[in-house]
Amino acid sequence: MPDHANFEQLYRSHYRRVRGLCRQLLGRADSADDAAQEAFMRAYRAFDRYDPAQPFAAWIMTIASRYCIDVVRRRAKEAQLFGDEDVERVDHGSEEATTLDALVASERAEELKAAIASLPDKHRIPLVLAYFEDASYDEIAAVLGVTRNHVGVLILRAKQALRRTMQPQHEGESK
Amino acid sequence: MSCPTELEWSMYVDGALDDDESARLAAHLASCAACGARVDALREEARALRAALAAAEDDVPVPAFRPAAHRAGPLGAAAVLIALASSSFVLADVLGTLRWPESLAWLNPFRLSDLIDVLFATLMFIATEGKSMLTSTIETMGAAVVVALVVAAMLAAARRGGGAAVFSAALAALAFSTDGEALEIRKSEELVSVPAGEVVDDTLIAFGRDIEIDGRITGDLIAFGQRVVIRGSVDGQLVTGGRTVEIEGQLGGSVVGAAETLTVRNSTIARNLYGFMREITIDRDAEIEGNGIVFGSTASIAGPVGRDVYAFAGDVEATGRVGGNFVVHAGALRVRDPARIEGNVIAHVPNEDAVSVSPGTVAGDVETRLRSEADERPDGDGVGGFLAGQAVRFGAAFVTGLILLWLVPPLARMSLDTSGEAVTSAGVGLVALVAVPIIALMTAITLIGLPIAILAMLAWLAALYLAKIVVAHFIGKTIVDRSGRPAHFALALLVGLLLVFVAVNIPLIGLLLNFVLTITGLGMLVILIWGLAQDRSVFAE
Repeated sequence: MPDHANFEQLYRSHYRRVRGLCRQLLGRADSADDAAQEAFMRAYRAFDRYDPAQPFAAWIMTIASRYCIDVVRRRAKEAQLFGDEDVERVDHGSEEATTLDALVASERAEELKAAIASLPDKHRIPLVLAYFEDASYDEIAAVLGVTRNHVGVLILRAKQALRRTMQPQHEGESK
Repeated sequence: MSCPTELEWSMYVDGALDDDESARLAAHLASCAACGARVDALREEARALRAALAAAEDDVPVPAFRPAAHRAGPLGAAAVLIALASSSFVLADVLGTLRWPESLAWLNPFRLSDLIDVLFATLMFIATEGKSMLTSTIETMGAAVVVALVVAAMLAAARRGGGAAVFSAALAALAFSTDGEALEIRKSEELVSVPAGEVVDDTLIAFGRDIEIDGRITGDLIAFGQRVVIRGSVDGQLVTGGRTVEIEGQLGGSVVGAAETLTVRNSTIARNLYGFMREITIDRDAEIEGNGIVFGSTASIAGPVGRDVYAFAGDVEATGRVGGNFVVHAGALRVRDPARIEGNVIAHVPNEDAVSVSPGTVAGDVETRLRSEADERPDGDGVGGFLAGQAVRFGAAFVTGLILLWLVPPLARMSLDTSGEAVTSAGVGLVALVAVPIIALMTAITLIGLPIAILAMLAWLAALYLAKIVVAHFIGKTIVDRSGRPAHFALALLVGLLLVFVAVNIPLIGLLLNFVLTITGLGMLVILIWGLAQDRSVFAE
């Protein structure tokens, strides 16, 4: 039986990572604190169900990602309500587009972060789950309610979009 | 051999392929330099993404964790709701004292025209008489299911010869649902009749301009026509609708009738009468052995009613014997000789003068409740009766809730996370509560819209009944979830309903709570239905 007294300690040691996940999933920093608080709140309420044999990090991260995805789903619905849908960019044959390289990662990390944050929800969330949370495609598929292959497509689209965003400026700089 | 696609490589690099596929791609990699370069680049990209995402959050301050403060959330929401409700009651009072031009009176949501008055009375009826409502609903639903099954089976049979199997299956279901009886359908543009002496040895469904039943129906009778006359006998239930409905026969079950004018004379109804009509007349020589529940603009009850009478009408006149209580929501009530009310008379009327009771006609008490006053629950046979009534209502609500949650699983997952959402739900619910009758009324004025208006009102009434159940389940879920292990929705429903039933029976505050719970639940239902209608997965492409 987990002890509620321990919770405060777990909270302090995991808060930043959970907040980071929330920020990445939500794509904005302003609501990250609230989301992280809410995730811990939910964890606190359900703490009796937590199996101490499992790592707490995985448990709280799952709760946080599920909550954030709910928030995003609701947000998307509101956007639909007011006809404020993201206009899907045409996916031109990006087979030939070069991938982001290490240079991008080291020199323009801030820019890349901003580009990730501005990805549409449906592309950003699987990307974050895969590369921030290190979730497997199967885990992501379960959380999002889609197939594993579909997760692959979403992540590839995310990468392609990022390449497009980073490419022209990158070329301009390297000249 | 063609090279694998970028998607395949991307998933390969992320370790998301099955072993077989992964092995196939690895084999290809050994022999294809182009793909090798691509995989290296993808690996590099994945590293870059990890690096960019692994942003340090070290500088972020960790706020104190205060579960207690958060737990006040639902309480805060409740406080806000109650405050809102109180202010709306004050508003209602203020609006009530204002003088409205007669033609605009129906715009005032707190003092609507007589028609709306009847509708609100109906709402109260559902709140206080869930059991009879449920019985009638089940009876009517039973009939509707029979019709739907038959239609479906006939369509199937018509479409393909093999549909005979479906047809017989439907008949089997019918036989099961109507105690081993079969079913007969008679349909005509002119007259459908069962002449005197004929015995229809099963359930009969009759559609026609005129329907005349002089013989005997051993099952149920479902009859819809412009003019429906029943002079024979029906052993089962009677469900009927038409412009004029005349009942002059022997009815073994209940009667559910909707008509412009309904007349019952020289007959015996062994169970209950549910009448929805403009004008209802129960003659001196007609006897209802169960309850009489009538909705209409004028109701005249001269025949004896074995048990209670509930009348929701503009004008009610009673001159017969009533075995139980006589509960009236009306513009005016007259009880005249030779009436004999064995129980109490409870009249909900607009003013004291609207009730006129001849001396010696009422064995119990005559209680006049002015509509503006806060309504207390009629306590029937004292505390015991009250508790029994509550128990039945509770059971009905529980069963309804179980069916509802079983049929509509998203209901069980609904949540109100913040006080803001609770207030939003209540607001939406209040709008729905007030707007639906007004819109229905306006639609009803255009004759074409009449059926839509009726449907809308029925949906509205059903939603009002379900609203509190939805809220009760939500409250129960909040409590049960806190205890830890995931619980079945039935437990949550049970806990929630218990709390709600206790809460709404607290004197004075109960009314307020009832109102708040109803509008919140109504709002949740509306939001859910809206959401379901809108739902397209964000992640589907």
